[in-house]
Amino acid sequence: MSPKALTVMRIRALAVVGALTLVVVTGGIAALVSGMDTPLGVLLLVVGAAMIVAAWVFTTLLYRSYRWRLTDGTVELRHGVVVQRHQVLPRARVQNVTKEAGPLSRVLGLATVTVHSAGANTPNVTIPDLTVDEGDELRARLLPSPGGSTRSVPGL
Amino acid sequence: MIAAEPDRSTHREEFGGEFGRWQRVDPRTTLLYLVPVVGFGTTYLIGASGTSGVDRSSLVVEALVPLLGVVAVVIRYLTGYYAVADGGVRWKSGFIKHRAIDIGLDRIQDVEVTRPLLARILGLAAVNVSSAGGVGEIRLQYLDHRIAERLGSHLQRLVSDRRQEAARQGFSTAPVGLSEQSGTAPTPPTPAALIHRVESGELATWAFLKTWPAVFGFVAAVVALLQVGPEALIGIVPLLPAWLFGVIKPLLDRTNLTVTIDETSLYTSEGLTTTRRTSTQRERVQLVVAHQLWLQRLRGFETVRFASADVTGDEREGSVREELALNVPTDTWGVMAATVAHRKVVGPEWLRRKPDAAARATQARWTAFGAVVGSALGIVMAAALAARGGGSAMKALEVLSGIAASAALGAVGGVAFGVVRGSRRIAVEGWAATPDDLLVRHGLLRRRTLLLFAEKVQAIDVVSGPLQRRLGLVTVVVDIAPPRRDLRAVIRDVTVADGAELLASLSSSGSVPLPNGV
Repeated sequence: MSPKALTVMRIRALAVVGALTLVVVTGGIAALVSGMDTPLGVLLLVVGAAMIVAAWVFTTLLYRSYRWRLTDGTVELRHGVVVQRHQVLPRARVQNVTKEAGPLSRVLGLATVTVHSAGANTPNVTIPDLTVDEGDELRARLLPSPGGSTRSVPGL
Repeated sequence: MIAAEPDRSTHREEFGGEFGRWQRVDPRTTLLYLVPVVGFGTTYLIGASGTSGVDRSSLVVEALVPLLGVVAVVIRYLTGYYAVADGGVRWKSGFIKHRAIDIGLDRIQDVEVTRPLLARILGLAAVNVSSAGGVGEIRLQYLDHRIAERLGSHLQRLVSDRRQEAARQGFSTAPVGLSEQSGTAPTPPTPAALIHRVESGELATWAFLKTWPAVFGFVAAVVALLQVGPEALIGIVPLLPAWLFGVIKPLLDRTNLTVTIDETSLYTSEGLTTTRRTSTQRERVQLVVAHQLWLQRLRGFETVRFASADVTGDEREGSVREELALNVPTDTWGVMAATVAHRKVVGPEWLRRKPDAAARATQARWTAFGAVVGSALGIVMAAALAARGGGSAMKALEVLSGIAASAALGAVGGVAFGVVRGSRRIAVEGWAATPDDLLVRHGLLRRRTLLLFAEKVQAIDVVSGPLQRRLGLVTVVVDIAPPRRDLRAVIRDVTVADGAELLASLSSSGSVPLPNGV
């Protein structure tokens, strides 16, 4: 995955834990400033800092865990830090491919590609934050074309 | 456009002048919808007019409510059109917002003809045409029952022709008998052979085994209320809907269940008040599953069902709706699956035992679960004791030791339960994979044996948590087209090597090219 993907993932993670961290840190500062309960204030500040560090580390590990490949017969994705998943979708079963990009992804030139098979509950393979070129190439290779190549995408 | 599609004179003749033209459903359908609207409206107005002090002018306004219902029914009838042609079935409807559904013959999974009681009285029937993969369903409600029957069988034949054509072009997932006919003209339809007919004894036993808690609950409620007095019988009234829909309706719906098969399709016919007939292309069948409730397993019986990629499976049943048999001797599913697949299928004797590490994983999970439950109970008890002690604060050490003791007790209980359950799991559960089939058996109290046709595999998911990684285990989840979580084949706690083997064999099985990818 693109190194820019790590930036996007970190920003998203910080946005998720940010609100909670803000409450905890504000509480800690308030306790310290008012002088009511110094140990509690310090504890809250430490907890707030730990949450940010944990989000940062977890995101890095999650980013490193993502591996995907396109073979002659399948599209595969591995990811997960605590629970690891290896999803395999036979290419003959691909129903459609969607490419999405939010504002942040668009700024960084990234897109998320989801490969769908039949059945609403099947685990669609979602490859987050590819570069737009990688996403287009993947979509072109997955969707059937009469003269299309079926070689694996090298280096991905 | 429908009219521009190539026609086949045989189909035209069979289906008559309606073939390829937009048509409305039967006008009697309006009566079917008007009965409840008018009935409710009249009852409401009579009740309102009988109430003293009601302004007559307000009654006129209230009369508009049922009138609007009548208008909605008429608009629904006037704006709904369907068309059937060689390309498939189309439905368009809507007054303000227009909606159109088009299901091509390649996408049709099932054709179902149903006749609820009121529709039967009026000589009507509904035809439901369903597709796979979230495309949708067309419900033609309602047609004259003769037209519905003819349309149902006509659609089935169109789909069958299309499939045989696909088989001749090399996209073959058809049963062996059909594949062998590649390059030849389609054979005339053969008479359907009986797979199973549910007799009254089987139906009654199945109903009892499935609903005995509801039956006993109802009887207990009646007895308890009678102790209070006959006037308390009014208390039973709220229980009646649950009784009717939970016990009586499933029984009525399965009455006269008959399953037949011919060269191309599987047919079911069932129902006493609402009759229901379905026809499913044989090559559309994705899996056969045998369920054993606790009492069924003790008596050596099972319920056998099948599933196609029908997106509109009846979710209320909590399982596959299409039954092949309700209560037949254990392992009858193998014979039925072989009949449907038109070949030998993998049998229970092929099941591979799970590794001993699977038992250890079960023990560890239950130990952790026991410890968590024990800790939670310890915390609750400590809080309760502190509350009872009033102002006297318990020492922190006492509280912590109490919680630890409770957690340890829970963990010991978890270990004991986990040892028993773990050893039972590896004795009972198992899996077998061949190039054609995947067989999975799991569940201790409610046992389930699931036979999945390998060529129908949509996706494979290999998952491993921290405990599994430590024990060298993985869970393999195999998905097929029906959009139901309970129809996935989940093979929990197999070795990493077995998981990789399964992944390799199933991902290659799923690469069979189909004309529609399902």
